[in-house]
Amino acid sequence: MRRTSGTIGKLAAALSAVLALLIGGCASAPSEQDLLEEVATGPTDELGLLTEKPYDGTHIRLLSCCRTTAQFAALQRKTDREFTAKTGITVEWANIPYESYLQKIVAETAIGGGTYDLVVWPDAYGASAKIGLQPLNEVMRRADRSLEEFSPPFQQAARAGDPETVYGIPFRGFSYNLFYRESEYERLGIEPAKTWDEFSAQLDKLDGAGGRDAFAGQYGRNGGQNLYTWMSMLWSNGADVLDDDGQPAFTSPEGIAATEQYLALLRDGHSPAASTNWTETDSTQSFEQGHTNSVLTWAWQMDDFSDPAKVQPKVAEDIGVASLPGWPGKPTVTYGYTWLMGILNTSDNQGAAWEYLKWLTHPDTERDVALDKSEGDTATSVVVHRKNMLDPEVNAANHDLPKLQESALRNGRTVPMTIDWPQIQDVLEVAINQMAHGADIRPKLHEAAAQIRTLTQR
Amino acid sequence: MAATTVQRPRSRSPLRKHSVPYLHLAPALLAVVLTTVYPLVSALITSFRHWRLNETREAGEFVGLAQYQRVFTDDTFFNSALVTLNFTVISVVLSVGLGLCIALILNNRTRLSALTKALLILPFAVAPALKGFSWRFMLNPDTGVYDKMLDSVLPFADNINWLGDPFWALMVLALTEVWGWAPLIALMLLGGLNSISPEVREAARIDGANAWQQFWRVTFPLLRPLLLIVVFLKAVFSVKIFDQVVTTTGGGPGRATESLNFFAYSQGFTFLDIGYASAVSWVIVLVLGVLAALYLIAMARQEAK
Repeated sequence: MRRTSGTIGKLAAALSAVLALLIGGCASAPSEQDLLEEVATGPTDELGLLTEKPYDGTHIRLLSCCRTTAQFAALQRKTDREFTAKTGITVEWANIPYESYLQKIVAETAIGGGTYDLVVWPDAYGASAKIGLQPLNEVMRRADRSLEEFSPPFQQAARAGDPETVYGIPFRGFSYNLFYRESEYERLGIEPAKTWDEFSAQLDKLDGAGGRDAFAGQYGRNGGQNLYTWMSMLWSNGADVLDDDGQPAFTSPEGIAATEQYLALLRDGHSPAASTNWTETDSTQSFEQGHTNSVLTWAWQMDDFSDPAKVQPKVAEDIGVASLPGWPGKPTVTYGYTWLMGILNTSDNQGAAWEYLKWLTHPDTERDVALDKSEGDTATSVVVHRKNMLDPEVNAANHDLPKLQESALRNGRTVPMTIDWPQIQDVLEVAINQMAHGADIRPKLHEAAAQIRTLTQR
Repeated sequence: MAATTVQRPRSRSPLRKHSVPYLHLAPALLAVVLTTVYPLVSALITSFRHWRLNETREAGEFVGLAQYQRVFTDDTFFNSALVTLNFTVISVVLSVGLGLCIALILNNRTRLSALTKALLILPFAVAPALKGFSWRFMLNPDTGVYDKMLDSVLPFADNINWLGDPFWALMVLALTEVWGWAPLIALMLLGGLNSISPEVREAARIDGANAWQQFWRVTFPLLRPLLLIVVFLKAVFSVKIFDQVVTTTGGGPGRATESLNFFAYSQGFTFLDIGYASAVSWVIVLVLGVLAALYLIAMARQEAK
């Protein structure tokens, strides 16, 4: 009897403990801190770091992905070597695989658990993520930092749709560019095209040149990747994805013309038939493996394209790069893709987090990383400060790509900063994919516009 | 005769007596409540509320059946339902049909039977996500090894973009599933075949039945209860298809391979509309519930026999 009572007692205790843990866990809702109250003041060094080390011994966690990306790897190593030595703050980079990273950002910014102090996000998620981010305007002003350091699309992404508020500081960004096999262009006596018509005509010559397809397109579904070229063409032709009221604007004559031109790159047989299903990785791999003569992609890809350890050596020695073509008499507009870093409003270490954010996004930190070519796995050409993009030394070390980007990004744009963007992007990427598979362009664009109108009215 | 007093053991109270087994079950029940019942109930409540993660941290106002009305007026939901139905029918028919063929072949014992049976389990042991990536890579029209093999054997296949054509993309998805499941089903059916007495077939043979008649009139009826269970089990797993959609086709081309689970996932974790995703998930739960009930009924009938 006593034994039974004992068993019941233990079970009851165990159940109570589990329930207490559950209730406790549910009850610990995140609380928001006031960033200004958390940030210490005092004398600073040339990088803006507080020389009195007020956060010495603090450990902060950064929610990030893609550890092997050269720029990320370089910044992590520099953090341990330089930042921790100067401030006493240790930084842990959480490396979440990219495939599940966007969900993790949402979980951390929208639900919030207090696990992380800082977060990095790609531009398209800014409007959704800002619910969990601290506005940075005032601390930036105090630290004499400004979004004017960056190109227009990076500034747009940092504001995440609020013209008056800064939610993150750009630390990684690039324009969309034309990469091509330099030797084929020389052999055929052609220069990188200035207009899309000219580009199409060149692709006729490049078809089969060197035993390769002319162009590696990407028309498959994968996180909106088949929209990158399309949006740049749309904007350059004076059309838009959404109008000022957030309603579809891509069915204008200019929008339809741009879409027809985009699909013609595939339908005219310049891009392999398989590219109807290709993602960004598929198309760049095709170029890296020497199957295609040209590809449109992000500037950072130069780090891979020019690395004989990552691509065929013949390809690595034969890369040319130019700005995207445009439309006659109209300014060329590229999509400027941005990664930003911000402070989570549930963090208990916001002062230390700001200290790290200041250092990591400082132009001098970025310059050091861009000039350091001592190790292959950390060598990167990515710079986002206009000052660094125009720096002769930085350009000399990075194929003159930074100044090409600076020029392209002057007219650059970012994706529409609306919380409906994930749904809108889905409708558009499906429409592009279906058109790549033969759907009529005009009705398909109107159908997509109708779907977007419905979902934005909900 | 001296009277002796027999000390009868004090009987336990009926309540206490009955509660002990339940208390021993409690930890397991608690685990089920926490991991299954609580999320289901929570999702049910959320399905009646407006909640987009990029608008508010907490679930918003109650909207009654609005999310369910939206489900049943959403063309993309119906597309996903149709895709799932097609996928389920194709994958169940092929998996069970092929599994049965393999089982019948392996039922003739040879020296290699044991080794073959051991090898059969390998495809099922491959992680679905890995399976998806591998098939996607192998069917690449430019560099894929399967594509090259098929092109050399079937000339008409030369121009087929396996993952770029809506029909073939769904077929490929089904085939990745069949590749994993048919061997497992074969092993399950082999167990069933082994339980059929050889004398029954021998008697049919003596009565003049040919091989087909032996199978159709003797083996198949005896195997039917097990086949029914296998069909329901496979159907439940087919309706749940998700990993391979993500890794093989991403739901494309267009929306040709968007399954119900992929649709629910997109609503919740890509579009951040948790309220709507909960409603979609509950519709899927109901569909799976019907299949599970049919499965349990089939099991019960078999046990009754």
